[in-house]
Amino acid sequence: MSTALHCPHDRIVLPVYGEGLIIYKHQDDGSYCQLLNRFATTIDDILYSDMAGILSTKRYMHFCKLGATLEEIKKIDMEQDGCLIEFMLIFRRSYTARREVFAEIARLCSEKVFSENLEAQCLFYLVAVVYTEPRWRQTEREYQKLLEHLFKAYGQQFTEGLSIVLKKGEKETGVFSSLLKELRFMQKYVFPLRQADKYSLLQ
Amino acid sequence: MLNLSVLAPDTAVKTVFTEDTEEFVGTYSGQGAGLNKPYVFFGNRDDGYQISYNCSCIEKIYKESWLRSYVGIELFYEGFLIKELAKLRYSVKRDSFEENFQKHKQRYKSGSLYGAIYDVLFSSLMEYRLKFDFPELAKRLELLYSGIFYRDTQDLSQDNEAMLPYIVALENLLRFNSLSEEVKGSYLSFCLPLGLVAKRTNYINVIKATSIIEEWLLGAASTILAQRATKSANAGGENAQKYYSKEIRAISPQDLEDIDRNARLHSVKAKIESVAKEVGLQAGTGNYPVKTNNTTTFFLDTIRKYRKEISELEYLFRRAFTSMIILPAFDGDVNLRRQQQAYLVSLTKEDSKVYQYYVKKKVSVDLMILRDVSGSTFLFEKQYAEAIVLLLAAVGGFQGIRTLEIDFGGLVKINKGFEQNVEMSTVFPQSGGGSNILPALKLLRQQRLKGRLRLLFILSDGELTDKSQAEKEIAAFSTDNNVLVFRIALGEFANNGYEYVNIRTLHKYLTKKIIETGELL
Repeated sequence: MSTALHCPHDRIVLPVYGEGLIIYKHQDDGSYCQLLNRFATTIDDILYSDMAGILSTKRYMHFCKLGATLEEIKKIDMEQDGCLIEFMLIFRRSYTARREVFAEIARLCSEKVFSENLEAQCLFYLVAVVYTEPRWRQTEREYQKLLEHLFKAYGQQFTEGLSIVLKKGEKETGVFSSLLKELRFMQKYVFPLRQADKYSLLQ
Repeated sequence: MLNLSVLAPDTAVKTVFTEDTEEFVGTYSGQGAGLNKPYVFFGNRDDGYQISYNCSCIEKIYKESWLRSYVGIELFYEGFLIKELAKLRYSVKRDSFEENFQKHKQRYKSGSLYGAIYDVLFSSLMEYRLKFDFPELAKRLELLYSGIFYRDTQDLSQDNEAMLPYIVALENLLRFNSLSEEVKGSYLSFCLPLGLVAKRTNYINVIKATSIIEEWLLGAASTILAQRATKSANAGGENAQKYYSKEIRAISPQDLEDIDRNARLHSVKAKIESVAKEVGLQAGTGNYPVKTNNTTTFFLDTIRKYRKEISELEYLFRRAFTSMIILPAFDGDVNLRRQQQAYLVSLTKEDSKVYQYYVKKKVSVDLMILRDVSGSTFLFEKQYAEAIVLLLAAVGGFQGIRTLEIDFGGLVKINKGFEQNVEMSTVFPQSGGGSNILPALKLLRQQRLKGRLRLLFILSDGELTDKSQAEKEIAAFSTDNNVLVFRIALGEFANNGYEYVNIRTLHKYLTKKIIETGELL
């Protein structure tokens, strides 16, 4: 197992003594890590930076397998020593991190069309599959908030996007059936007047 | 002596020592006492608290700990009490109705994983704040944690035991910047920024960080259990199992080597050793390091016999030589709390201590003693030596006070040099020969004086063999090096300008002279 410490920017850091304090410096260029050394850092900043690191380095590509269930992806993540746990945790807890993920999907789609963009498909599928985590449903109120955020981001395009990823057409898959049902419910009864999604998935 | 009441000034704490373990368990079973528990702490703010020590358990832990070579067993007693008082000081005083806090209270219960993680993060915050507020007490707590595996995870339920290596790894990371190879690498990288924010800020962030880390561990539970099953199957992790056990035990030298090997910051062992030496040298606590070489039995016996007198002298020196100077300005203070207070004061326009920064006034004294150990001192040689040992021990813990002691008589010998630690000195009862001071003065001339205040005490009866030449040398030495000379006579005769002092009060007289001279300057 790797025993190097990584900062939220995914760079190796070393603690050193300086000015009577313990300071964390990046090993590659000796610069100070702002997040670890700053006294005014908040937990939200850390979670956001962690997610930004995962997205920028595309570490999700290592363990995300299109069409696999969450349990299968967890096994792959365990073998690869990946960051699925961090991704799920931060995605659930941080609104700004979620927004960053949705924006990243849109950005990837703007570079290359979704149907041919493996990175965008992996990230989109990962977002969809983490919603099937049973522990997330333990607090219904929080789960509904997560669902609402997903709906506002890609609700109208979700079914089509999922079918592209799964290549099974319009038929609902067993794993995602309850998620799709809840999104449809939201579309019909909670946000009936909403016409367009916040981000564009399918150009 | 340490004043621990500053930690919780409005709280009454009763201390009880129970020698027998079974009696301890029987008396305090309702408070969670166990055979291997070193103490129990219970009570409330209204009625006061009580700390009851299990002396035989503490003694056993002390004997096995690597700290035994550096500090006395009192450190453990003090350390446990400091830990509990600091918890009282920095914990939430009044319950909040805020939702997250109420949830936290419900989740923090005995045996829970959440509770164990919270205890680790809260301890980290406590140590951090203590270092700012009470650095001397923080050192003792730091030593305690480096000397004993007494984790707050003692009550972790069996269901959560698989997580113990991860909790221990988190604790070592925050305390020693030590990375464990037994846990997933990404776990420590993930926890580090959360732990830093938690310990540098307040309990709200501790609660947030705790729930995030708990969620991480629960998310990785299947992985952790699978790894544990593999390890058990391989049966090669005996040492790791012991290291991560819940058992309360001393940190042995081997354990410290293991921590040191994984440390990323610096040699944990070297750093803690230097803290241990510094704490051990403070005579007021009666703790003296026991070295295996270069010590005299007489010196240590005298220290033990006159602990009370030494602490009284030390108190006098501390009062005289410890004063604070207000600094007009201070650059580079990154203390966020002070900045926030300064901002509030700027709004309310109140006078406040925020703008006042204090620094300890530096002490700079060179204290030299030339002791006549000629045959005429035979009658009181023991008290004579004891008085010198008392004085050297009392000032030994002060940075800035350098001491030198030279015996002259038949032969001349430096018993304690300026650069020597006080416990290495070789003052002991001896007498013989004549009073030849010139060789001692020659040795004294060879020493390098650094102090702003330089005092020379010549202890003799005034009947020096080479007195006229000696007086010229003394006068020249005094003039050349700006040294104040005091001539003290012991015994029945006092001649040639020597002031008579009773041998029983010699140490007090020397102390008085040093303090008076210091005050004049």
